[in-house]
Amino acid sequence: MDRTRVDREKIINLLNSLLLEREDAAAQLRAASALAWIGIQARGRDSAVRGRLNAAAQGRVGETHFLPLLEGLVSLPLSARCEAALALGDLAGGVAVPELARLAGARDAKARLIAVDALGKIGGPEAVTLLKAAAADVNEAVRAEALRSLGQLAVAETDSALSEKAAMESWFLDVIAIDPSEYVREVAGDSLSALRESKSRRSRSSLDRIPTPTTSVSA
Amino acid sequence: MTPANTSLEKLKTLRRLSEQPFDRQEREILQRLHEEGSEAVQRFILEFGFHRIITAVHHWHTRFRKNLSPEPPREAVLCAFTSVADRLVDQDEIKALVRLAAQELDITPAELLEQAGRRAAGGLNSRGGDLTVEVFCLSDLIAALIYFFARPPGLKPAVRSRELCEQVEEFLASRPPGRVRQVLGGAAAVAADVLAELETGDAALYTLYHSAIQALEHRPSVRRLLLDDSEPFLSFVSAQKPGIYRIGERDCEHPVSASTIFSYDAGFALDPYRAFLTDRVIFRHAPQSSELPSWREIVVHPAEGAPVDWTLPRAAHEWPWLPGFLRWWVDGERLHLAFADEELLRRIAARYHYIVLSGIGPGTFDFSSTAGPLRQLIAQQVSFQLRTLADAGATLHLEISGSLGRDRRIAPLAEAVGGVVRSLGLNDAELLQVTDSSDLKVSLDGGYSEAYRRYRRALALAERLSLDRLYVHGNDADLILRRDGSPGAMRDEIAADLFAKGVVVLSVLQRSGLPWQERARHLSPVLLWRGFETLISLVSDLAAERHPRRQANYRRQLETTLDAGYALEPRSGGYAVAVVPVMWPALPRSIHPSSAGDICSSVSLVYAGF
Repeated sequence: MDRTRVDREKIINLLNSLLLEREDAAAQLRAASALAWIGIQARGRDSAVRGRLNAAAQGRVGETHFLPLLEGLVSLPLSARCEAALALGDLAGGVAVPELARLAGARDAKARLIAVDALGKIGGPEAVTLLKAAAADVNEAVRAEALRSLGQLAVAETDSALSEKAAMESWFLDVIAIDPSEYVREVAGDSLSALRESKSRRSRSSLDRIPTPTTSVSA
Repeated sequence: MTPANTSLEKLKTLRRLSEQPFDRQEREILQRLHEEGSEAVQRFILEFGFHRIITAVHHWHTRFRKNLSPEPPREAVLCAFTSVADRLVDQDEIKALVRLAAQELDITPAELLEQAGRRAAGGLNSRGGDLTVEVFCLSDLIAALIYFFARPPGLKPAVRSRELCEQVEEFLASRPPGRVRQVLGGAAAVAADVLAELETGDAALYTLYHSAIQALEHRPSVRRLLLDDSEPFLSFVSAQKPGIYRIGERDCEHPVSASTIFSYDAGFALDPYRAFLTDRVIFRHAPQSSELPSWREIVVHPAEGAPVDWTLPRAAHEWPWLPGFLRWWVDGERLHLAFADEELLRRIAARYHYIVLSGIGPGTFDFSSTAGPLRQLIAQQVSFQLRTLADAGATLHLEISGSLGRDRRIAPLAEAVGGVVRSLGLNDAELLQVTDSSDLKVSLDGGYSEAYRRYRRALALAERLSLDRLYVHGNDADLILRRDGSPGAMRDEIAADLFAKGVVVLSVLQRSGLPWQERARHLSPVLLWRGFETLISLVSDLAAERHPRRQANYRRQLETTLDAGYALEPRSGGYAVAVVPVMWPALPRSIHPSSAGDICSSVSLVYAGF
């Protein structure tokens, strides 16, 4: 069975029940977990990242289906909200970014970590701005997750976005120079290395595609 | 460029592993916890959601990364008593062994397998004894393999006849290059090697015999403690130098301690017998020399008092082996084994902060009158040695092996080690055996997870043996109990264990005799799902033990322990517990992980600064 295919109808039903169970926090968490489980099953084999620096991921179901949920999410208990954010990261597209932005400003560092994780899967310019802000979070784990996510989005970016990639390299270097945490600096270094490696791999493969020049030698 | 096979290379490899993205592993953890996790895990998902597992995975991964560069401890460590040359036989060679055995017995392979199958079904060897304990002929050996195919885990039967030993040696010598690999084994020898490689302060080895083939496998920085002279100072040689003893004016080589290890994949068949699990059977050979020993009698000397003649079963070609610090010499037709006296023991204790002991089991301490004078003497002498070393200030860690004695009582072990051995290590299967005794009852109500039951058994054992530290190593998670353990002590234990598991898994790869750097690339960079299952199950049940499930205190304790990895014990003299999900990938059959847990136990002890 192809696990990356999702059951749209089931997702829509779960989105509805999540909002309908307003009085029952346990039921809301259950519905959000069921939604998150669909997202986990839909993840790609290697990387869960679906977007790029310049382009947000496409939702796995129509973006409009998420709109009622996104409006109601803020009123859910924090655990259900985090669980829903996990689902959004795996299932939704750019439409989810504003709600994830709100969660990224939560007081609870674990909630911020989940929001950053989800933003890193969706990607796109708005998510990248939020991730860069999260890279200055007071919490070391949140900063590290933001840097890891940005690195993965940059690696996924197409070859044409050379200036964006170069800007990201320079930005990682700034983080390495100033972040007070050795661990965060190491993660920034990992992301920088992965980005440079992907660039050199691509340039090698594009060189391979250039036909060998032929020269005519006059007799 | 970093030289190959150095600790630096290992630490760099670990670092590279930890730097890889772990999306795939995170997905596997979530999926398998949901689909295969225990009842406690399912309840956790219902109560907290998947996102809480994700934050825990990130937290532990961060912790793993942060603990990859500890400063090597400077304390001196002496590892004793086990050392062996392990011969690893490739799976395909098992069929070649059957053909060779059939030829020797002048029957067809099918007839041999039928005969061995009948023997395996009865569980008895050719002399009517327990097939899982002793084998005497090729047919027994094949019967033992067939037995363990159906009834894992494979144990360690002893090869007890000279003829079979010679046949095994001939078989090993006849195999094509690369099909039999020889590596260093024995928990003490390998632990000393790993600690020396990590450049901890003065890592040394003591072992009764040290043959040329064992010496060959050591790295140069390991030193071997010699007890065979009466100098006022302890003397040492490089562990790469083979042991020599004298008969008159002639130098002779120490006997060889070896094991032959047959490993196989699940489904491997000696038709019609099929292996149920991927596993291995270790055939232990008693120490032996290439020629029959020149001596005929063995005399064992206690530190004080009259010597006792050797009365334990022994084939003519076998050399005796005893745990403990002993001197030995050959005098005409007698081999003398003399337990070290108090003065020598005190000199050893003064030199070494940590003394890590293996080769001692609950069965070592048989003080009963039915045990006979030799067994009683061994029990008394080993017990005396432990007491003297502890009294002189050494921190003793005992890596226990073997099962309880004949009467299945734990009291003799408690009598010998209580208040003397401060730290003890064993694996989860051994914990089950040792706590299944007639005089230690572990009361366990139903409804608790397997992880919690393991913890309760560990707690009962630590209390019964009056230990300060108990380390239970497993393939999923390690449990570390510390009496009056402070938050700082528990954090140090976790940091040391994360590092130890990482380093030891690479040492295991290196020890496999294969290009380990290549294999290391395929290891999982993140902690594994089974580790998280054990962690979540245990912390859930620990919280439920102290608070009703619906209370806020229950949730608070569960979440705190999940991230911290330890739970404190408020009672004075009580045990704090740490649970550490381990980086321990599913290793291919060709990798030889024997004693890996014991080695982790030693490395974590030293690095935790216990």
